[in-house]
Amino acid sequence: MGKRVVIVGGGWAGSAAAITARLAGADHVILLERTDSLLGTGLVGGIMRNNGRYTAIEEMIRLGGGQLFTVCDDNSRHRNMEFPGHRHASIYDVNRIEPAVRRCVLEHGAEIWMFSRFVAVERSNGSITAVQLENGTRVEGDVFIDTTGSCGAQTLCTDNGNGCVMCVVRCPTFGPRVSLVGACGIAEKSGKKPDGTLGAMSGSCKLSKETIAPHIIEELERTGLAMIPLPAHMINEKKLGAKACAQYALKEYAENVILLDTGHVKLMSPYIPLHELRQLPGMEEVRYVDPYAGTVGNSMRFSDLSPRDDAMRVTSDGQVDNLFCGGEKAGLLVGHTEAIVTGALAGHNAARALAGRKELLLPHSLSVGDAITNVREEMQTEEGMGKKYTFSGSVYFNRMKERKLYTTDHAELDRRVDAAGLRNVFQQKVV
Amino acid sequence: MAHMITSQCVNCGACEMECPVRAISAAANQYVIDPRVCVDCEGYFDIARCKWACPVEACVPQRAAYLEHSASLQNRGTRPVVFRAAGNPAGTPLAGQGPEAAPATGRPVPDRRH
Repeated sequence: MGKRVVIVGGGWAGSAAAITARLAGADHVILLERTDSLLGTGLVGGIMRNNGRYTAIEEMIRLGGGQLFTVCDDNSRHRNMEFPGHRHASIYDVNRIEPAVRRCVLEHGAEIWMFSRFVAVERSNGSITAVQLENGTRVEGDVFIDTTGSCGAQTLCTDNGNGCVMCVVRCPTFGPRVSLVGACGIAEKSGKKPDGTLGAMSGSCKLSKETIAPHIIEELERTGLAMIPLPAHMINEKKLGAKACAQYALKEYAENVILLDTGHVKLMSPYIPLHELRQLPGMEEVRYVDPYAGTVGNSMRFSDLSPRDDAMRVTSDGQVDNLFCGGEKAGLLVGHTEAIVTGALAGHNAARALAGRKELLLPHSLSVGDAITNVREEMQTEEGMGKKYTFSGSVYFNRMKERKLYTTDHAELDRRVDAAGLRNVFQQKVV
Repeated sequence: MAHMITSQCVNCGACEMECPVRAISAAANQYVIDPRVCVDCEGYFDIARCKWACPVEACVPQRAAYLEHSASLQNRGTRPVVFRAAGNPAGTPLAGQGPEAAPATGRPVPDRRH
């Protein structure tokens, strides 16, 4: 029997890990997903290539690990658009992305197991030997990757948020997320809101197109963006601080209702009660489609962040030696682009671990390498744990600009990746 | 632990008259058992008196009803549904676990790239 990589969690990070593990030559790759579809919180995303994400994506494509970014590009509704604080963004269609990602993962030869919620771990001599699923199935493996994310269980939202808002994570139906790292007895960290309470609230909500006036939808579908100024009495800038997505915690987002066309209508402004939203012209009959209880907020994130090194290996006091992590599980690096980057590296290094090869580290001359190190270091401090990091804005994008890492110049990007000697490194068979 | 009355209740009131600790009362559309009062007839009868009296089997132990209800509501604990592309070279048979033990419902997603 060939050696196996088992990935727990089929979001962006897990899907990326499945692809890169296969590209690196892992014989048998199993992607376990708790629900009926891949992508998890990726199903409410959409925004790619904005600000420094453009650089990170182009680096990943040159490194040979850009498969899922190509899928996003192929399924984009809008390209090279601008909205407040963000340039050259593209927006993928959230209604079409999941089947496309599923095809991409399968075409690379990984297996996807649905309705496969991880509940317990089996270990022997400091290595994980198998994971157990809720239905009693055991899945044996040689190297494991935790991409279970940081949302849910429901109690995370009831204890630290505004209750279960019935979001796309769907804990009540498919059961709560269980952290593989946590199950190994490894201490995990949690992010904090500015007020010191645990977690952060997911960024945006989706509205139903059918319930918004045709002239708004026409503008939205033509340009990708519609902005409706909020009347003075409805502006509440305090809400911005609670959000997970610091790159959208800008003044414009408190003073306007900003809508993006992701297939649904993505509401970029923080949490507006339905009755207030309906006071806006053209929105008189509007309705939330995700989360259903968007009126009161969104799901909580950033519990259970794993300790890890820059190769995405989970670091522990001897509990496990064959576990990697990616995505939000791997720290306060927020977003789909970011999850694909860390997931892809975790998948590649899992394959290297199978073969007993030295792990790949991404150099600091590339934004993807710098971000992985920088976020790990920032998370060592109390202050750093209160912030969020993304290629697309806030503190990390500022760092990218200071260090001259941010660029949209393709020749420059070619030069950087070639100078690092890492052209198509993710395509090299290591097993 | 206590007994409870499910929505099968036909509002006949038989249980209320039989209950040795007066835990049962009429509510809007059916009778209900106060779980703080109910003692499952321990020390009174061998089987719960409401269960014995009920003509439609609506009086049941709380826990059993909950488990049955949640199992029917949740698509959980079912076997994994495995997806694998056609001709996947990685499909090594697995000894007594995984796809072999799981139903062969893994359907390759049709390739629509052209």
